[in-house]
Amino acid sequence: MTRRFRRTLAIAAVMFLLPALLLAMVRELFILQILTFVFIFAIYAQSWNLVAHSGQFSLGHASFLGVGAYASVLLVQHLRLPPAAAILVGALLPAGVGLAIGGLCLRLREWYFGMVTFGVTAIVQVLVVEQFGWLTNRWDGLDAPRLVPAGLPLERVADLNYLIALGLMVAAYVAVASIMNSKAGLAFSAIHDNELVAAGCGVDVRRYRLLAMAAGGYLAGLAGALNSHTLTRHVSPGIFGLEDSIWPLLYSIAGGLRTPEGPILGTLVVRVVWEWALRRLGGFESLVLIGSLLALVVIFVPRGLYPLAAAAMSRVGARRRRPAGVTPP
Amino acid sequence: MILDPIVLFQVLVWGVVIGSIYMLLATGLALLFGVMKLINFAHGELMMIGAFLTFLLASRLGVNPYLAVFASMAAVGLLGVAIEELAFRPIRGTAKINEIFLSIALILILQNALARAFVPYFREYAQIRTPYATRVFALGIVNIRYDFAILLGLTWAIMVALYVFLFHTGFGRELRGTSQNRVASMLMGVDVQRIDRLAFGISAALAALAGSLYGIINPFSPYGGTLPAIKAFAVIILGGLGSVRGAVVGGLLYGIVESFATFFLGGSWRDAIAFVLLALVLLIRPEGLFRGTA
Repeated sequence: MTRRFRRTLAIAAVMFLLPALLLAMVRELFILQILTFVFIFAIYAQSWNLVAHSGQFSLGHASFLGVGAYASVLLVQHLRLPPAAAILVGALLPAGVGLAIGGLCLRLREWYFGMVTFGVTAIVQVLVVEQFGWLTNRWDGLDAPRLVPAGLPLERVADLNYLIALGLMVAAYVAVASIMNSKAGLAFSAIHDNELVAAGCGVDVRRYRLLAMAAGGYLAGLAGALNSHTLTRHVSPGIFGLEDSIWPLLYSIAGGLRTPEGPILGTLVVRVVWEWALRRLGGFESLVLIGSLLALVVIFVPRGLYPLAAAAMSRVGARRRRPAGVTPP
Repeated sequence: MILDPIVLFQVLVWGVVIGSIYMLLATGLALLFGVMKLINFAHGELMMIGAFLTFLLASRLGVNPYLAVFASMAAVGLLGVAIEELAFRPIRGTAKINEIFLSIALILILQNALARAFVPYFREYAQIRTPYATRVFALGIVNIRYDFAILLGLTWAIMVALYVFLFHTGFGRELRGTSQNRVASMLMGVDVQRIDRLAFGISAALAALAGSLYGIINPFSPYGGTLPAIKAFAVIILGGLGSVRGAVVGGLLYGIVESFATFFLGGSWRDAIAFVLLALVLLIRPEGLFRGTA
């Protein structure tokens, strides 16, 4: 077990235990709902961030979110799979979609990539509504059954959803952190920095870009399925909108791009600011506020909040460790 | 399927009209990309602000919309200059991707600020009313709306003015020079930052014109700018990034293709057709149909 992996596990333990403790203390349903939302969308942001780590800035992540949700709901409806299994199996379809989009866009970078991925989302929406309308109930969408077995009291359902979402978020964190720290992560990073040089150094660009898209597709699809079985209880073609493609990017930028912790911190912070603003200011003003904060982050803290927080933490740690009697230079 | 020539001709006219709007949007984007190597994803929001200003002037003050357009262009042009100065200038030279992020932030800000401003005026959709809304004239076998004719005339007048500006003035020469080689232009004594501002201002003003014309022929909402702008990106990628000629030809062609595709395939394909085309072109000819600058 490497040092990095031990560190990942330690962070994961804290990440799981703190919210689990919180569940024992906080009983307000709306706080639990917000946090469940944060866990689910942290998985989604994690997925976007992993794909971005390989130099592919997707503006069409909603395709994965939506396809995952539809796949899972359809598996439950037609193959009678239990929802808990369906979310894991259903996410294989968006992973396949990720491979297909990744293959289509292999030669593209930056905004070309962003544009095409965005466009693909529009195409996916049309396909879901028109071509697969018989399966997806067109614009009306499908109702999603509860994730947990029927018959439980509502409060238990909320608790279970919270814990399942939290567990999956931590699992996704460990998975993504391990990928980023592995040889594949190094390859992603090399491709991100300079695709030509990476290829010149023997990195199989094609293979790793596709790998990132498939993994990203799986995680995003999982988040979409989880969301539809717990919070929205419904999935409709509206999920393939621009907004759902922008949110994960916002969360990741705010938290810290290309770190496995960033998307989680970012989702939490942005979502809490958002919920606060929504109650204080109203919908339009809150979005203006979120947009302004994002602009300020991009201009002044382009690396995001997590590296900032981590640096502050290590500075505090260094001060404490400093031996007595030695004056700093 | 009705293959009535009159209907087909109407589809073509509609394609040319909507294509002119895409052309205006794409031209602004191409100009901006040429000079600053920047893609402003918030272009569609500038477009809708333009539409809204024209709407206000026309409906509140009773100004003829085709005159109000010019005030709206000036105001949005200034807004564009301010955006360049306050937002894009500070991150110039950092990672390219920051510009995409920043323009996404701008989408959120402008879209929702606009939606907020919209609230008192109408519930959902607005349309700019012109005095000629109900009048048509006969052109051969079909009737054409006066608005369509004025819209096309205005668009082409502005495009000719832009052409004269780019190719027959000193500023235009500096702008084209910056577009071809920024460093060399700088060394030749061109104030490239001023050219940046100029390009952003022109691009925003063209977006305002596009938005106002769009608002005359279509009901619009604060969120309605995103899709036309994204189609305009598709157009400039199709036409070769930074190529104004590609933007003009591509915009018109795209409007016509979209119009016919909608007619033959059905309405829900209207927005997806752009991306089918885009994916095809990027796969077959990634450098675009017209490579080159200015």
